[in-house]
Amino acid sequence: MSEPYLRIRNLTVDYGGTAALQDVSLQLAKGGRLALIGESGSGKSTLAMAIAGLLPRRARSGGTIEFPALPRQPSLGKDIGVLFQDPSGSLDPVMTIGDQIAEVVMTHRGLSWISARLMAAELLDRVHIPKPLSRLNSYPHEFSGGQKQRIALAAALAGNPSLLIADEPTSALDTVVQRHIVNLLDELVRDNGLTLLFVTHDIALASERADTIGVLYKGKLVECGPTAGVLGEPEHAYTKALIATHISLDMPRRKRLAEINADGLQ
Amino acid sequence: MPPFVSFFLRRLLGALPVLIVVLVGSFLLLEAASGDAVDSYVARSGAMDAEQMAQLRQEWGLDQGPLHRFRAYASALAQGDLGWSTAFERPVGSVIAERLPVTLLLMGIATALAFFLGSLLGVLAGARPGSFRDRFLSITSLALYAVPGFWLGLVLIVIFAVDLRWLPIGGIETVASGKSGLARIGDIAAHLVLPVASLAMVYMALYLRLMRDRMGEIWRDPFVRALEARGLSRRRIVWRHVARNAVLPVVTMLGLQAAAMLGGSVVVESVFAIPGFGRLAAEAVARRDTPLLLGVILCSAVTVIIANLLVDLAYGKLDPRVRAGR
Repeated sequence: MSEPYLRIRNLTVDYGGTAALQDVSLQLAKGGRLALIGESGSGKSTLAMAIAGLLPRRARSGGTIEFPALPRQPSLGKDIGVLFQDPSGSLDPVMTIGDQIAEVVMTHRGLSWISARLMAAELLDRVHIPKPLSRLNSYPHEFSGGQKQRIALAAALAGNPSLLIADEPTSALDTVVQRHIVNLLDELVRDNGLTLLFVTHDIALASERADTIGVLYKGKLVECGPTAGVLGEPEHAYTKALIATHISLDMPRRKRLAEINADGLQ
Repeated sequence: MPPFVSFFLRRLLGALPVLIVVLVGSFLLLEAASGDAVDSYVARSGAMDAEQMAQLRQEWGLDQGPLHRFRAYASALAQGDLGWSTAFERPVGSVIAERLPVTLLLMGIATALAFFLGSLLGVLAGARPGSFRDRFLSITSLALYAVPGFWLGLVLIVIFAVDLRWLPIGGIETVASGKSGLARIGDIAAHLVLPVASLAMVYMALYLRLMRDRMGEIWRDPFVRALEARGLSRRRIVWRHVARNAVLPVVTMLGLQAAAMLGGSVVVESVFAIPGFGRLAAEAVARRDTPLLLGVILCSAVTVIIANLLVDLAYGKLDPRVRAGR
């Protein structure tokens, strides 16, 4: 097997006494799509932020995170793009979207202001914002939630990163818009040869779009492997329970909302 | 007509009822106080018999009832006539035209200085909340804010005018110096240094603290983490994003401070013996000069209204969300 893109060994993170991640090790191949699933507080977002290097200052971490495929330590924006859950919280409310994307382009690609603005329009076009040139001088409040998330995606990709980390990128959006964003992510990852790591609590989404799934439970990576294997033949009791809670319309009504009993696991 | 000109006119027209209320209220308050301009005149000039006093009252129109006098004042005002000052024995308009520019100059420079230096230092303090620089600037500004303006003025006079003799003690320019042009401007500037410094230093502390606290809040806003995730330099995040967002409430405060600055100028003008608008108001009250005081109040109200209008216009420029709502 060739060198992985990302290799994590024995990663431990704690927030002042409470352990958020314990002894997590995983590998991600170049061009791979890893979905991290788990319930709230399972540590899936912490893992994503640890990889991005965006942990809060009070967090203490141990273990190693390596990027063997990169010639240097990865830098945010240039090598790693991050997309957050809340589209309104991803953009500066008093700066035009053109400027916000162009400043990332200028920082990482060393282009002049005018070329950076043109590049911003191009990026907006890639995330399917209609009439991108005329929207460069619009402010974030002039767009809908889904459009804001597309603009945030354009800004995340403006430095031409090789890894995109998306932390529940669709959780704050309605179902139809979710689908649009997911399709867009798919398209961009394919066209640009990006490696994708996304955090979600939507198993259906993970099974559809990821080639690898990591299941987190109480700060531990209880299962990690190819999507079909993890979802088809789950080894860990928590994964089985998680799959059982997934609501599907062809499931008998009374079984739809099963609760996970934490005591029966491990 | 450009949209902002019509906006300007509409706002001024909307302020008209406020001006009327201010005028009627001030007039009633003055009427309710005991004594009148003639009593004040007698108290200053010494002896005057009852007949002379009655004659003076008739001359100044004080023998008429308050309703009649207010009507006369209002109808003259409608034609742009501010009336006759009994204290200065000159038209009110010319007295105000002489005094207002002095105070506007003093206040304008002091406010601009306080705002720019204050928010600049506020950005330096707020760039890293909790750092040594932040704590040093915050504590210094608090100490400065706790100092009364007049005391600061007196201390500055003792140091720079009395001991070091670098700057003049008081006044707005050297009396009968015969200077003109650039020399006169330089002379006025030298006279303004100390009063501007004592006014600006106190208010600077206010802007510094406001800017710093607001920056502390903006740092916790999720969009800042998104900017960090895009790999922007810290300098760019501080100046172009955090400071830019934090300046909005500081600009609002600028409008509110315009009124407080007018009030504060009374004290500083007294300390530095500057013939300004604040001292004119004090004199008008002491001399029971109703037309002069009403004129002063009217001009202050208009000044404050215009200052707030300018602030609103600036705010619309700074915050795109407000512009959309207009």
